[in-house]
Amino acid sequence: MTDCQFCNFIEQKTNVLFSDESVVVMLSPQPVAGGHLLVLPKKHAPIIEVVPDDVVGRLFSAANKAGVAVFEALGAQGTNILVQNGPSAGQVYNHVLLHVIPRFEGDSVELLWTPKQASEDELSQIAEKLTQKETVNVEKKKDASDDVSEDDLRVKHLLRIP
Amino acid sequence: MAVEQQCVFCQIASEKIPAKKVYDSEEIIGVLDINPGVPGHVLLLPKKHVSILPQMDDEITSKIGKAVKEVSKNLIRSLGVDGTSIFVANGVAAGQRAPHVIIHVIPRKEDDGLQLQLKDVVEGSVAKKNIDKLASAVAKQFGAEPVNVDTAGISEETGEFEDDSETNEQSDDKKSDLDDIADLLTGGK
Repeated sequence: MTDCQFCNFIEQKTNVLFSDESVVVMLSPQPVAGGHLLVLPKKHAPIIEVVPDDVVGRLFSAANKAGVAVFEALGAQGTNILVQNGPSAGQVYNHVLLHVIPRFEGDSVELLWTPKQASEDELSQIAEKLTQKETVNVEKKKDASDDVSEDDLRVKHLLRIP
Repeated sequence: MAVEQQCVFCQIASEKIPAKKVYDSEEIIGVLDINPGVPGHVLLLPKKHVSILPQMDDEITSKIGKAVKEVSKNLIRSLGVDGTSIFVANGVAAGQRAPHVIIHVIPRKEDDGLQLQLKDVVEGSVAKKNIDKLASAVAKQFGAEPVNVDTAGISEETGEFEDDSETNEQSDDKKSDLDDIADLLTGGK
């Protein structure tokens, strides 16, 4: 038994519908709709950023397949895929979870936001921050807290979640 | 070819319509949403037209996953936020409005006012018949043997096995056709 509820579910095969060497598909223990599935990495990881690249690829591929299964088995009219990556995004458990949620016209699931218009200036500023060259980032790493410690802080924060 | 000309997102992906590009690979482009939920909201798009994610080639879907990880990391590093919401809507019923697959990667911080969050857990909502169907459908997608749901440790807490025949009939009647769902999007635009 580990501290991670989902690692325990995986080991005990609780609610698990499929697993291979890197991904697991299971019924959500807290469904927001009937047939709500979870796709997760078999090996423990608290956030997407620390999941190895090849596993991330397999997770999204698996989530897509789980979505097709939902369409076929439940006659769903739509599916949502959602990852709540970090506590401010609503993450509660410290294991990466890709939610695959069946949707029907007029159902009670609410997954939306209010779009706001962004100014050209704002967009330009943000685009610049996001496209700064690697060399500049490397320099920044030497000056300020680097990415590794940022990751560590988030991971530690998530590990504190009961 | 006509689809690509009519699809705004294909135009954006091929840079015929200008957008703020923040990710670029052979198959995938990432641009800033001009009507973001919060500043820094990124839209990841396959460059080749696909209407809904279930119709996307498996290889591209894997690459989308890696792009999501990279963009998420970049948002956190560059904008000083501490999380991201990653979201896809497949089908009008799921909130899809664009006729082209979009993976949203949205920077998140505490009290940002973005409502996008799971809530309202439903109690005991899946009839056993549907769990069986789902187990078979999942197995089929992965080319595996279906799990025996009776012994899969499906807990009482997950879903009381309702014997609601009315619900079952409705599920049987709702035949989903992914092509129809995709057409709803392209036809409506």
